[in-house]
Amino acid sequence: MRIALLTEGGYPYARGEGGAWCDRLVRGLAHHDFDVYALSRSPRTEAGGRVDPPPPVQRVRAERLWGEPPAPVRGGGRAERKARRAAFRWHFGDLAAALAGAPDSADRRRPVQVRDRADRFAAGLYGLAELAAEHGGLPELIRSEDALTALEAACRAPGVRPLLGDIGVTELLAVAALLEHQLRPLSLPWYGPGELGSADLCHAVSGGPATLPGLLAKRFCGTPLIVTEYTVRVREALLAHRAAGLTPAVRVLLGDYHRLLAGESYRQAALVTPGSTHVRRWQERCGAPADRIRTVHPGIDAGRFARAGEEAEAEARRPAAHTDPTVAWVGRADPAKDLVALLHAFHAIQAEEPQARLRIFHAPVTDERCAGYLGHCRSLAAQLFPDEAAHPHAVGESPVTFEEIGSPGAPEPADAYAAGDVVLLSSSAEGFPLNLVEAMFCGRPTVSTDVGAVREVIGGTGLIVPPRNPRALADAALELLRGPERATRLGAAARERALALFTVTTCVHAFRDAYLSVVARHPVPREPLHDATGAPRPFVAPAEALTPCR
Amino acid sequence: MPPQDESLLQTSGESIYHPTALLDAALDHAPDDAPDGAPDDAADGTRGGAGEDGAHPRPDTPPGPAAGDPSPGDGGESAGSGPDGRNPHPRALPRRRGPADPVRGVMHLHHAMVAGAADVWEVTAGLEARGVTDVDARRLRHRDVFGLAEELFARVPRTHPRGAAAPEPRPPLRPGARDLGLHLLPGLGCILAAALHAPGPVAVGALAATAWPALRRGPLRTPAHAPRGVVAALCAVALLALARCGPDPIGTGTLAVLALTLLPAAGLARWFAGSARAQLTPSHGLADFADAVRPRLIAALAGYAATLLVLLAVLGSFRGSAVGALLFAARLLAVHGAPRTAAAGLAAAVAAQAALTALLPAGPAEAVACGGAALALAAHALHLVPRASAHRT
Repeated sequence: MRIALLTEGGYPYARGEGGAWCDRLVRGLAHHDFDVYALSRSPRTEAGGRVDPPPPVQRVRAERLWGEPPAPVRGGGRAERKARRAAFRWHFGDLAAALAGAPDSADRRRPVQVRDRADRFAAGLYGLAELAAEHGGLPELIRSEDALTALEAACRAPGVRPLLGDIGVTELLAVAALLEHQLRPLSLPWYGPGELGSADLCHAVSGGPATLPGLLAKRFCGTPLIVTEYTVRVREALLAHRAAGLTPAVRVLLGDYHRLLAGESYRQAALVTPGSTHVRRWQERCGAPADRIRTVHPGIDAGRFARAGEEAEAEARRPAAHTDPTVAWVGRADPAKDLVALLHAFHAIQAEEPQARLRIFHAPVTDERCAGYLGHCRSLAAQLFPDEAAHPHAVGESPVTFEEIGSPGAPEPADAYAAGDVVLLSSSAEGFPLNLVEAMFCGRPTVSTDVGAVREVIGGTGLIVPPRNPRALADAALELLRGPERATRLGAAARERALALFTVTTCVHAFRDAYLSVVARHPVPREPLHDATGAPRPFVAPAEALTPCR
Repeated sequence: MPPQDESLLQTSGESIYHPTALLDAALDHAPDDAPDGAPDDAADGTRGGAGEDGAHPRPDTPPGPAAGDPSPGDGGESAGSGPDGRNPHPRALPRRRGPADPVRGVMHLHHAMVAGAADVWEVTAGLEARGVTDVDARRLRHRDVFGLAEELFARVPRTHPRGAAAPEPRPPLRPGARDLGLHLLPGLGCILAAALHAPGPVAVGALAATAWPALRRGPLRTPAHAPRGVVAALCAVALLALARCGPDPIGTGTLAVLALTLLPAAGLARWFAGSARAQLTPSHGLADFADAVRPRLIAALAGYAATLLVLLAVLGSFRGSAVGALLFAARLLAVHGAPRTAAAGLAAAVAAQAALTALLPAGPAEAVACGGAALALAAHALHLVPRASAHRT
């Protein structure tokens, strides 16, 4: 089977997120052929270089969603330019009206319906794609005065939100420029029979712009689409627009673009696989049909934690009494991880258990923000916990240590988890908590804050406390430190759960089945008996394609 | 929520995870809290005497802020099996003396974020980024964060500072000494050629060669990938060559004056581009912007024409003024997004002049061909240049 992986700002760029996941997927399904179609999000993505793709990857195509537009098309007579402009005005008008949420001109009194808006967006989007395929020169047109006029008309239409009504010229220019970046995939030469048309399946490994080539492949070649989302791309885009200091009117239009695009991709996709319930909720909110959603948790390489997990099991069989109960925290030092709450919680723990130790294992610090936060936490720890010594002639040491993963104390992450009798997760915000899954692989009892997908990941195999509540965190940790039997049971249960749900094998198998079922249900319509080279092509239309049920 | 989660949480004590604790704390101080608080209490099995509380919602608790926690309990179990069995807060945490409406607290906490948000989706994204979860939302009587965001968005008034938009960073418009030199070079070259009595083709060639670097940078440069750039350049050289080397040629002095006007032309173009850009932000619509920019364009064109005429008046002849005006108008059009029109105008002028030279003397032929083309291009410029898309960068 030939699978087109569609990425944006991730694989195969070394710096992009999701690279390791894609790599494991491609290696795990090595019997399929993969083509990677990558969109790069920013100069930073490209500056990091690319990883070397594994052998199943046959070819890699890349395109930028930033920087100067590609050179405009030369030639074309006056009549053709005129026809192109007219078609552009029509389709871009549809798109702009959908973005602004303008009521249909046929009946202005009727409030705008969600469905109408999505249809209009799709009509405009595919119209522009056809225009780009037929005439080219779409970037130039989106930067032209026609686009600005269409946007202004859509924003000034009666019934549109007042916020858009007084949109300024600078804002119109900004919207047009950013839309031009976002719509660049429409102009790519990827939709021929030799490219995406030759794939049996498009797999967009993130939502948003990565799905755009997949949508067009479905439109032009009938290739089915699978959308996998581990972070909510719409939400990321909204936060990024806010952080970039765009004005509200610009944010409304671009946010709606991302939302409508996401909705269209979910509707067109043969299968949508969110990584967690949180992502699923956003997808449903954006219009994903519930019967085509299947949650697939990201797979995490359990091999690195196998030894620690087995040791935990052995320890459980003959429990050893320890004199210094140790609490461990493992992760990347980031303000969202709320290490301050962790330190306060440990302060409370130490008040009850003076022998307790806290070991903070942080990933190697790469950026300035993390380094600053870590320094802040170190000084707080120094203030809260004076050095202690056993007797007057001993050298004292602090009950809290900060260690980097890779240092002699913890050469591997597994050692860091194994060092703690209880592993704490004190984050105030979290997506899919990888550190928690790793702790579960190591068979450690955990206390986590109730953020992101923590509840879903831990199930019933660990304790959950509200975020930003050090007292509750301390009480729960104390409970586990004082009840080693229960802690052991929880740790064993957590390991079982993680091995059943979050291994790479589980994830890869889920996608193997998904690929087979999608290809069976939605075969690419091709010449019945022979392919392009004249080779026979048996089983072109699988029997499943004809069954009435899903 | 998986069921085993519940049981685990409850065995680990109220203080560890108690979803309704905050809400209760807030509601206890509300004057008429009892009907709202009752279902939560009844559903909470860890509390002693839950059945009685469900039947008569907290009959012993006096209403009002005086309902403080009477006995400082020291653990979940002791509170649950206490003598009165209705101690709602086993660990004697200080009560939150907040407003009766629990959403008020959240509203205050995220006020700036919600007030600056453009729509409900943004509020939801912002709340989730700040760690608000569905559990928090349920505590505040909402189905999920989306519901909470809707309420917050509806209740917090918008504060969108109008015109506080950060303008995009523009390339600096300050001319440097190098720009000045580059723009003066063609004029000096022509003066030198005049002083040396160089033949016409040499003077035109020198002018074209020295003007090229000046037109590649500074305010008169065209955007990258502009179509028909070569056509326009060839036509411009052809016009100058026709004027200098054709029948009844202009002197090298006139050519030098034309070359010297490159500097004021660049200055005017710089002023026009800068003031048009400054007009982008205060304009409310595309038509507003065009109306505001059009007078400035007229001023720039007129300013150039006036400069050229004054300089030519020094020489005593107005030959060449039409060529200069045509070249300036064409360049403005090419710089501001209409290079095809500019090239077409120049080509038409060359063709017309070549045709008219056969019929008319050189001076009138040039005036009619170039003057007509200049007027036509100026008319086009008044339509095309004040568009906002022409002032993007």
